[in-house]
Amino acid sequence: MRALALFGRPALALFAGAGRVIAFAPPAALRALGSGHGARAAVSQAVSIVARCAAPVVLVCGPIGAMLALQGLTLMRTFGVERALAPLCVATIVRELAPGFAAVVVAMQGGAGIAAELGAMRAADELDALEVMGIDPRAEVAGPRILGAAVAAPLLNGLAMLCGVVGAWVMAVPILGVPNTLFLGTALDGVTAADVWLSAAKTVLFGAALGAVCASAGFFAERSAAGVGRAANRAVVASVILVLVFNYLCNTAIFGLRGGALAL
Amino acid sequence: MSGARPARSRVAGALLDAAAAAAFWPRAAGATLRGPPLVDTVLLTLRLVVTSVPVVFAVTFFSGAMLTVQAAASLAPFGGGALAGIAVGFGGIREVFPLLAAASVAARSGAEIASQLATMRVTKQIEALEVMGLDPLRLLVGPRIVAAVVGTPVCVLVGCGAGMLGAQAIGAWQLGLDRGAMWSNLWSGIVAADLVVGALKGLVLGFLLGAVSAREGLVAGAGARGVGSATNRAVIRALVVVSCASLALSSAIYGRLAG
Repeated sequence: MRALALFGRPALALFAGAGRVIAFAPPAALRALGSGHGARAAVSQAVSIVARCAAPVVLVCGPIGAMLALQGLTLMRTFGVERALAPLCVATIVRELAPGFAAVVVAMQGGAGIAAELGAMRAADELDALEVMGIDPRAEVAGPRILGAAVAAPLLNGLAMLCGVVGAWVMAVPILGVPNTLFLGTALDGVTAADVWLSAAKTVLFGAALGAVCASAGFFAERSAAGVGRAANRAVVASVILVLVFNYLCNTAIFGLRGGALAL
Repeated sequence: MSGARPARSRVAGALLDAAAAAAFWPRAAGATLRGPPLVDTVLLTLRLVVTSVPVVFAVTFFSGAMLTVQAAASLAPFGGGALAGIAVGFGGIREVFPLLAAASVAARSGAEIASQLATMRVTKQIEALEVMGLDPLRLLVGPRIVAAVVGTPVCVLVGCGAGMLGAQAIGAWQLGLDRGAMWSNLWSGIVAADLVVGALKGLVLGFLLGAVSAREGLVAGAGARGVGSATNRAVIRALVVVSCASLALSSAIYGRLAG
């Protein structure tokens, strides 16, 4: 009985939370799209998320690209396939690391910001004030932020790709002594335009999902300073997990179909 | 507001703030050495491990799964499944799983440290301690730093295990690779020293994420808004510091082996 409660309570809370997000976010985003002011606010939200996340994306994705090149080269020199370094690094960055870590940065910076902002508005009774004035806070406050995250994530994904590849180049060529012509000559062998588009499409999905989770965490926050902190904390954790789960599901949808036909 | 200021003073402000944040690290280290209260330290450590481990498990399990699907597709021209297992095990244990485990601890427990300390700051509890002549660094920051330093290596090792399980589950069930071969391929590039290095990285990353989060909590602005933005800043700064430190540690430890 106690074990049932131990696992049942979090599971029920999880389902309740998911249900609340699903009931809250899509109507909010659609209503924001429908109203002219909401759509304009979404653009300015996207601009502000990009501006706030750009520096962290550079600082996170540059080192990750460099780390990939460092460990990739260690592994490839063992197998004597140094010339596969650049294509594999670029492919891994474009397909996985850039969308994954760009989305994590958007969750931690933009998403936590959305939750904190909406939570503070809830705690200060500002959302109720809007409602009293006949303005729908879902369409005017929450919706634009969800849309903004969905627009900002692919833009930051492009920045993350660039920084990751530059980080990998810095580690591989000047530091580890891979010939520059070899790196640059083979860099684009591993990716196609379809990879870039799929990666961008993934991040639109991640951005919308994390925007939805963070907006509803903030919107339904408890009305206290501590409640706002807890809402931001919960929003970050839930959206990071969600991004990784979605990333796996997207990969399975994209590659899993082909994966069955791998010559193993 | 900040847009009106010229870009140069904004950059200077950001650099000054970063310097002030880094200047807090030695004070945080000092706070842990002045003998933090024992009971709080033990409880907070247990709390950090218990609350972070499920997050770490979920994040690294799915990243192991994701890397395996990706690697099997990318490496198919070079020999497919066997190489995918080796690459995921190698890259995962050395880099990806420790980094993601530390990032998850920062998201779960670092943000909690920041939001708790910020709430105490906003509700004047920290000032109350100071007025009573008590040292908030020793009483509040010390136990949290110790908890992060002790808990993060545990989370890193859990993350390594969970990532390998994720890779194995996908390899065996979804990609239809041979179970025994997949498991031995995953571990074939790894030696015990790699796990020790992962745990050591966890110690350093744990200290950094604890110190970054505590500092952001302590300097929180007024009101509920201050708590929210302190939590936000703590999470993103901890992520940036953790990934840069992870690269620095990796190149210091593994750099000369590659060259």
